[in-house]
Amino acid sequence: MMAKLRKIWDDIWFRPASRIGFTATRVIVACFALWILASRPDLPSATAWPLEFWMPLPRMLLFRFGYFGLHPGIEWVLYGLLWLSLVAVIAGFHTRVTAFAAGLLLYHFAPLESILTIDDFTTMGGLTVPTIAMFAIGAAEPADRPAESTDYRWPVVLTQLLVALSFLLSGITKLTYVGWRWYTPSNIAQAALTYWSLSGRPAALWIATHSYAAWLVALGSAALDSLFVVAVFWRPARWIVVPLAIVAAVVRSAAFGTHWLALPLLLLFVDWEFVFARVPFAVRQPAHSG
Amino acid sequence: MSQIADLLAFLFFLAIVCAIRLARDEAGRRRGVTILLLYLVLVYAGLVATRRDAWPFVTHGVFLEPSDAQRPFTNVRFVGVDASGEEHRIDPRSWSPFDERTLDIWWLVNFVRLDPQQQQQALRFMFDRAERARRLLSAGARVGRSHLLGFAAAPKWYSIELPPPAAHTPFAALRVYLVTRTPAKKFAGVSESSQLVGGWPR
Repeated sequence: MMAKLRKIWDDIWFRPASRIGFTATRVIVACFALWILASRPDLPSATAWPLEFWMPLPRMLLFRFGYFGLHPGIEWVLYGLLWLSLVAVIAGFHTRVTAFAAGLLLYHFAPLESILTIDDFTTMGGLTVPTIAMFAIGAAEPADRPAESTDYRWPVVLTQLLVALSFLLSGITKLTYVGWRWYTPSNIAQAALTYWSLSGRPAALWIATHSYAAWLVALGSAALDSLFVVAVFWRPARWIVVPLAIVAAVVRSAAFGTHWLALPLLLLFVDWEFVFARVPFAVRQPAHSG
Repeated sequence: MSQIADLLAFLFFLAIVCAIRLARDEAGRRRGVTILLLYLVLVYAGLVATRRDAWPFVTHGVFLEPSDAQRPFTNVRFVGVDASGEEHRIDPRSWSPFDERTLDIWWLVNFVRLDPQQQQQALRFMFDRAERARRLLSAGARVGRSHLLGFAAAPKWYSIELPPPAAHTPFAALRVYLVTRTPAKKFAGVSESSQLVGGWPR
């Protein structure tokens, strides 16, 4: 029994894989992080806000994320280094070092835009998955970069799992806070009416006043929260949950005005080995690329 | 105390990652990865059980609370006032790199902890930011998140209220309101109520 479990475990995390999937994960996650950063080009300027905004914050909170005083000049330099390290990760330049540096700097900068809320780092502008993934990528990159390795698989699966967990854990949290009632059309309709009262978005009002729409949102949410994690380990499920996640993101943006920024990370669920094997102009990854 | 625990959770994660990096052989690396995965399972299970987050280990999504359209909902609204006394909702991009939600929470939780002089200094700073952004937006310039990427920029994840139209008259003052509405009543045509809770100049 134990031997069988170990075989399943090894097959999930350590089955030899080609470099293509690992490289695709590295490039997708780093490009996504760069997109978020380019959409917050003035992030370090937060540290130049007057002390009145920072005084009520616990010192330990600032210490936890590496803010030993507020020094905008230093923060701008570090922000530049973060951009450079992500570009280096995309290019595959000394990934063992640059991915680790990118992870540390993401950990430092990602909370900044929400830090004034003290404890509300729920979604962190989409940088949660890249922060953890960078460490995994840096740790897994073999020095000799063979074309196939057992080290290429676990960072890919772990990064996919982190995306999937954002649904599963959110679902579990809904159950612990509200119970099954969260997934009822009545709850969805009332949420939609609340958001409509804030924003006046017609799509929110439409969901609130059409019970079948509220039913669809409730069922879609339940399916996504519970089934997305299956897609990590069973590929056919991706044909269902990935399109469902796209639809859910669009509905959430249009009706509620809350955006799932990690949407581009769904590209992690594409079978890149399959794509590269069939695209005639695809660049083949050399076995030893520096 | 929770900040220390959260930091330690991250540092332990880093230590395992470093151990994987430094492992000499494949068996050692596999052992390290297995420990890492079990550690992550433990951390996430603990966070779910205790209903908290320890970023970058997070369990919460959005819309966690039971919805009740009969329950009043209050939020903070910052408005600019021009010389004629007309009020204009301030574009959230004025607060970049922070967003309106962050500033709302900061206001509700932390503003009261400041003394009156500090409160006025904070509001004065916000007024300056709002007026500078108004000038730029009025001139058609890009502000905040769209500065580099324009329409391709990632939005703030919480962008419930649609951006207001650009105000073309300079702001002379800043006011802060607590705006309350009951969704079901608003649907029935009852308008929201607002309470002035601060402003610059006082």
